[in-house]
Amino acid sequence: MKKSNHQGSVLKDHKQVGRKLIPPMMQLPNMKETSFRDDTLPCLVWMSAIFLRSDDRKAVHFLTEFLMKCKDILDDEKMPPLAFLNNFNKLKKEDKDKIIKELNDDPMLVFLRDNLEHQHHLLDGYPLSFLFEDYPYGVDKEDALNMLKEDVDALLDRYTSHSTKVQTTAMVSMAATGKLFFGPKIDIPDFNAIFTAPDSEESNRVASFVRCNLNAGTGFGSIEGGKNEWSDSFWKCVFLISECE
Amino acid sequence: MEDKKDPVSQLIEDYEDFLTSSFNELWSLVDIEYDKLEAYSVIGGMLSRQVTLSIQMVRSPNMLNGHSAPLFLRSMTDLHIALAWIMLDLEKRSTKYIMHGLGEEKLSIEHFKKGIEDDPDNPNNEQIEQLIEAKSAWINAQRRDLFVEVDLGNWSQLDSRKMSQEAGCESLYKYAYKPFSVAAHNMWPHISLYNCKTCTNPLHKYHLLPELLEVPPDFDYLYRSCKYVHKAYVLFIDKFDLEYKSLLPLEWWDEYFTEEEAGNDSDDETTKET
Repeated sequence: MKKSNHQGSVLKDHKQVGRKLIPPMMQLPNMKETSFRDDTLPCLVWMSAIFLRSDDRKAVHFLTEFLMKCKDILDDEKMPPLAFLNNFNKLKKEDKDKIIKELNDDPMLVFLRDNLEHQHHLLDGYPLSFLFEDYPYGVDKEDALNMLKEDVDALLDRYTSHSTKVQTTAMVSMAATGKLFFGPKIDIPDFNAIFTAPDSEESNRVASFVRCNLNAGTGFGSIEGGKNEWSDSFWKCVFLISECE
Repeated sequence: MEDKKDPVSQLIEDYEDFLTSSFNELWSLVDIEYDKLEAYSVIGGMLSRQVTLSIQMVRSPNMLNGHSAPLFLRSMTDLHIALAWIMLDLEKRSTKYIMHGLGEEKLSIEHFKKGIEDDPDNPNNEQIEQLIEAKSAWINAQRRDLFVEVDLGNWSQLDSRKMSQEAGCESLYKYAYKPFSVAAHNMWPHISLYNCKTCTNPLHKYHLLPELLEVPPDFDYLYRSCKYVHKAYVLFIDKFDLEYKSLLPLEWWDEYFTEEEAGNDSDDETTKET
């Protein structure tokens, strides 16, 4: 351990600066604090809904297929990773029209609508609202609110199995759509482990690897789940549409 | 037939009786030195304060809970640290303690005077003037206020941690004074637990809401208060080599509750026999 710069018998690894004891992690240069809950969660809440109400295989399949299809339809390398919901708000109207036109009659669209209509119903400025244009849906507001609570509740703790599945799917989809590249020297874990062997060491490695990479991305700003307008408006909206309990 | 008191009422009476008699016995053993009268006034007064606080606690069982008891216990631990530190250099440190107190009152008087000057029409000014007079008389009875310094720092020039280290009671500082300070100073670790509840709506990120929480009484707080009185007694016994014969507070406590348990056991046996 690095030699302590203070006389105390505890927290020897902390550095004393004036009257403060600074923990080792906060001594790292360029360290930036990010908030998964405040900034990233609203960007991944759509995936949370899908994983909660369909089996894992189907959820992974439709989510990655949808994102890859969007990439093919838009055919623009500069497009931000759409795994993060807020990035749909960066698309132009014609881009959204193209996506909806291509997806028409695709079971994927039915699947997405079925799983996300409660979010569309409740959330102001919902980035996937374009999927519901001219789509008649019937969802009870109370039921929708309860479902949204489940979506959020399941993701508030980013260390749970559910949250890990969501975060892993987001990261894998980024890799699959060319938004994330791993250097040849990086020892990439087997992402399937979180589904096939959730209690294994490999699964723990995946979870840690994913959180770490998402954190790094978040540090670069709104594109990868950092501070963004959608997240702010999401939390404002959900606070106002429901009471304290 | 004599009414049998409930156990809590009985404890209040017995504990208060014990503290009163033991305090009187202990203080009667102290030989006051004619040339150190002020020093003995200080430590005697502090001993009385410690016992008084414990009596006040036992008289108010409703406050033996996490909301209120820490306020008393923080004061008692603070007192113990100060008393133990003064005992190490009785004359010099008790003088510091007194002089600092006089200076505090002198400053307080000046604030009151300024208040009257700034607001001459305040209907409370007459009362404030009486207060100033009483405080001035209190100071001047001890030292002419012309010669009273005002020290804006800590009376001992040390913080409580350093005082406790010097007085050999750092563990009391770490494990009692500091935790009770959290409640006494209304810090977040106390407020968040004792004055808030979690909103269970996940859409509100489980924020905390103010709540008037009832917390159950816990007689452990009284036990701790008894312990601090015990420690004060031990300071006196050790410092002045007193031949104190009665039970010390913790010995009394153990005996009281051992007897009570034994009494309950024997009641059980009687019930069985009959």
